[in-house]
Amino acid sequence: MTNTLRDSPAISNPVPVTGKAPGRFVGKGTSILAGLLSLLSIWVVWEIARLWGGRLPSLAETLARLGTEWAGNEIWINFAVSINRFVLGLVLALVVGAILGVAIGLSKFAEAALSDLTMVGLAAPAVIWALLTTMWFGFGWLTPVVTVFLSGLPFVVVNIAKAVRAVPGDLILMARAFEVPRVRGLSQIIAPAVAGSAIAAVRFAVISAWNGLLLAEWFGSTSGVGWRSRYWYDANQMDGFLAWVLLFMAFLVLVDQILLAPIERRATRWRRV
Amino acid sequence: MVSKAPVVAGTRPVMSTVSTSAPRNGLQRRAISFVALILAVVLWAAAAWLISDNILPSPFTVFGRMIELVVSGEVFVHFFSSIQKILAGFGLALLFGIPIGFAIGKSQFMAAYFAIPLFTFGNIPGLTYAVFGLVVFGIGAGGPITVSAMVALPFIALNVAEGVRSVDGGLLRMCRAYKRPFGTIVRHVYAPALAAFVFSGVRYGFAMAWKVEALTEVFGAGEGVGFMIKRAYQEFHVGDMLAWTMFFVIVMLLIEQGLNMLEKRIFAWRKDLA
Repeated sequence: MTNTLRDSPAISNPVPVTGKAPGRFVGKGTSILAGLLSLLSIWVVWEIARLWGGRLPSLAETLARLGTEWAGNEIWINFAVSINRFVLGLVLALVVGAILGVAIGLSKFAEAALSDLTMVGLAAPAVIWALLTTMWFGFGWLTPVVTVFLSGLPFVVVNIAKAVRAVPGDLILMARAFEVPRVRGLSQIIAPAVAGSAIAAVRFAVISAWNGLLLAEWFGSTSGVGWRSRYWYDANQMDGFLAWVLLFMAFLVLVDQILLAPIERRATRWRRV
Repeated sequence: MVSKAPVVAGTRPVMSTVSTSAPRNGLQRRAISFVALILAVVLWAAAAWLISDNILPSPFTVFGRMIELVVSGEVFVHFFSSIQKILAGFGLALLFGIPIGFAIGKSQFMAAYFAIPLFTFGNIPGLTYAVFGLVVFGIGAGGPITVSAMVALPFIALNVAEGVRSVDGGLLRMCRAYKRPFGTIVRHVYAPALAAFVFSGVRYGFAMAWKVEALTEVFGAGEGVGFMIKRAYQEFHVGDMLAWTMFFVIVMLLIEQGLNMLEKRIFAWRKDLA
């Protein structure tokens, strides 16, 4: 299984499905109409599924529950706790992953040694880490933090290695021959080449780590957003669970689509022009 | 090495790029990789020896357990069960995903219409799928099947859409001019153009669906890999859990590798994509 890391993009990419046709112009009025129709159909399908299955919550109740959670300050308290853990684990994953990724990108030896292990990390599902850390560390802060770290790490390693390989060696040699100052070489040759994969590393790590955090808090925590959604599930109040699912989605959309995706588009703009 | 933007499902089927720096000495690479794996196992053994508690069994215990599971045939029963559910789910995903992909590829209105549902399907955290799968379908096979279908759907639909857009418009006009029947157009124009895109949609979808399907089984199932992991967790058998995890990882990598090779072989004639 040599060289599998580079040949297997499929398991090294978690979801970001944007669902937009790249570079196609759709009339604004048409697309708004289609969006509204789409939301309407989702609502109709949901209502049918609810009446047929009987166990799904109604959307009105879900929104009402969202209101009471907001009024009771549950949303802020649990998000504060969770984001704390999330950021701690994510930063650790980014630092360690960057070191390993740079090593893999630079040295054939490190690549040969670490590729297979990284593949194993990519293939292991987050729920395993969540269950293992729950057994190892109990209900403390370590469980979610370590799960976030472990589920984000392999994605950082792969994408940082890709970033390092993207550094154009010929251009750097030429810059040196023409005595381009180091800072300018860094900002105009290396930074643009590396930016795309580096941001991708953060995006994929965020998506995968958030998924891990939810599971770790579900199984091994007594606070945080994952725990709160489980609280409603255990109480057999699916409207409360769905309310929290909407919040999870909102958080991911906020961080990934509104914060990171535009940065990525900007950083990789030069490639598409 | 051409650096590509991160592969977003559906923007392009990424046919495996032929690595430009072919390993000159594959044997040496393999040796280094092997030593690294051995080293990892030794570290694990050392940690297990230091902690010396059931909570972290030694690798030999886990390997022993794996051999037992293989000999007793339990592994095959449960993997067969999980893979069956995934295949059923993919069947559903293809059934819905291909027409939806056609609609998206042909009409801008449909593209805007399906953007929200496909985005939602693709970005819901796995936990949500697992819980709703359990709540709606109970512990039968319905939950995992529906969940894998929903996870795979956006990958397939968006790739089919991309394939439809890639079809040569000149060919279609010529077919119309010569009044070819619809069946012939599908068979000789669309099918060859779409096959590669559908395949890569399946490949991407599989990696996601495999994990979410197992997660759904962790939450509620009567058999399957996820179910066995959950049982080991409840009985506090860390050794069993690690053994099942190892099998899970190995099977995932093998299937990935298999699909990868199949893709290279089947679509070798499409030089533009290779």
